[in-house]
Amino acid sequence: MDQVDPVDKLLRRQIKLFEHAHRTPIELKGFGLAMKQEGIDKSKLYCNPDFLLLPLRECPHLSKLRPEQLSVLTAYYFARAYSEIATSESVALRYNMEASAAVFPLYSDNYMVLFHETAEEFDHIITFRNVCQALLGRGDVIGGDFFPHLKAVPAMLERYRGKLCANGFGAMYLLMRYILNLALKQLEGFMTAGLDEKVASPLALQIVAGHAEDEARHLTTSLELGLGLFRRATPRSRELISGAMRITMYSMIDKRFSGDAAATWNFETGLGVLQRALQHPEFADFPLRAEELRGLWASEGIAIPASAEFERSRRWIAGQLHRLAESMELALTPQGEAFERYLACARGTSSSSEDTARRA
Amino acid sequence: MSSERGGREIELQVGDEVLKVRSGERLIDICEHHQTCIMFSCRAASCGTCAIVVEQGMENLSPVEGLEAIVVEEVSEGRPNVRLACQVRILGSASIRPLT
Repeated sequence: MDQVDPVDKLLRRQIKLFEHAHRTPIELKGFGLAMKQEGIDKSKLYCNPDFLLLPLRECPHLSKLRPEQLSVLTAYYFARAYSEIATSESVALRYNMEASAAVFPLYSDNYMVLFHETAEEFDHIITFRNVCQALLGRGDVIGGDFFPHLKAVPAMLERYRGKLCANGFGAMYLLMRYILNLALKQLEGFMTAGLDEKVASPLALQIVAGHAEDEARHLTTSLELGLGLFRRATPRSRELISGAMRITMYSMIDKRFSGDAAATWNFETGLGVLQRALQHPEFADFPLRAEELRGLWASEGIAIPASAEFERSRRWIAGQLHRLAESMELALTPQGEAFERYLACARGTSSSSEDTARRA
Repeated sequence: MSSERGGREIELQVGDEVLKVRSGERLIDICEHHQTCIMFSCRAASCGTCAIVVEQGMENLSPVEGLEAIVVEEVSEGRPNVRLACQVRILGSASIRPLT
């Protein structure tokens, strides 16, 4: 029987998708530049405030935020999300080409699939730099110094250089990119979910939609090409990759599926953004600083609710991790409530998002 | 959430489950809300993870547009009535199951 190699099949599809996407150029730079000119449009929201892990309804002070203040808060969250995404893409740039050159003949169609994706990553970084300039007033918030967990990735990949066969190096890079993409896709895919178009910044929605379309292809390349190369790798390389992926997945499960998501996520996401927003002139009359707000929530027992959008994003991540573990035949066996919650999310037996959202 | 929006109520069979949904909803949103057996990943017609076979009611689904045709051609391997849950809107009663 005529068997088509799964890697060839994936690359054939990605070439077709690329050609389809670029028959009409879809650069995002224009949206970033338009946003840079516009600055924060205080009559609009840049993401769904409910996605931020903040007690926006429960806290007596946050519940009184004016629409302009909410706009600034969501704009800061949007910019923070894309500064992290751009940082991740800056890591991808170099390793994309290295992984491609390790596996494919120079300038072959297969090599060019990853080259095209690299070119798109450049477009995104330029766009997001402009987004940060527009919303935060500075574009230099992209890079490992701002996101230490991403700074560690190149060093980690370097440790495996020379220890893996060519297919193994490609697989390691692409599967790691897939895991990082998962974390970022949940940000992008769900932060505007449920946001009424009438109150949303049209530029923000265009950037999310345009980037999500490119990243859909990148996510697929990472997973399917990564898995294909993993299967082609030597047994020793597969063993090393499996070990690294297990550690990465455990760490992600610990962070994302702990009972009190806010405790592990909050400073980096909602509260970190709120802290910045409180420095904005629009918040000049806000009576408390971030630390005082935290103290108030603690003393009055105000819990930080995980919104329906946040729970949906967790279920999505759990499903993707579960599928990856199955595809790589990785047995994940840690104990603990975070792991149990991850399994429940992955199997679709977790409590409904609405119940979780109401717990505050 | 599917039951909160407009459109008439219709029956959708997903695998062995029969769901009451509102016409016009995107299939992926229905599946996500009901946590059904359909797996999905990119949500943008690129990965083919959410490929489904339509066993009944093909005429009650929104037409194929954009990238879906390319991906369906690759993932269906010649099998008929394959669609992507992330692209399909349910306009009337139908019965579907995951491709794999």
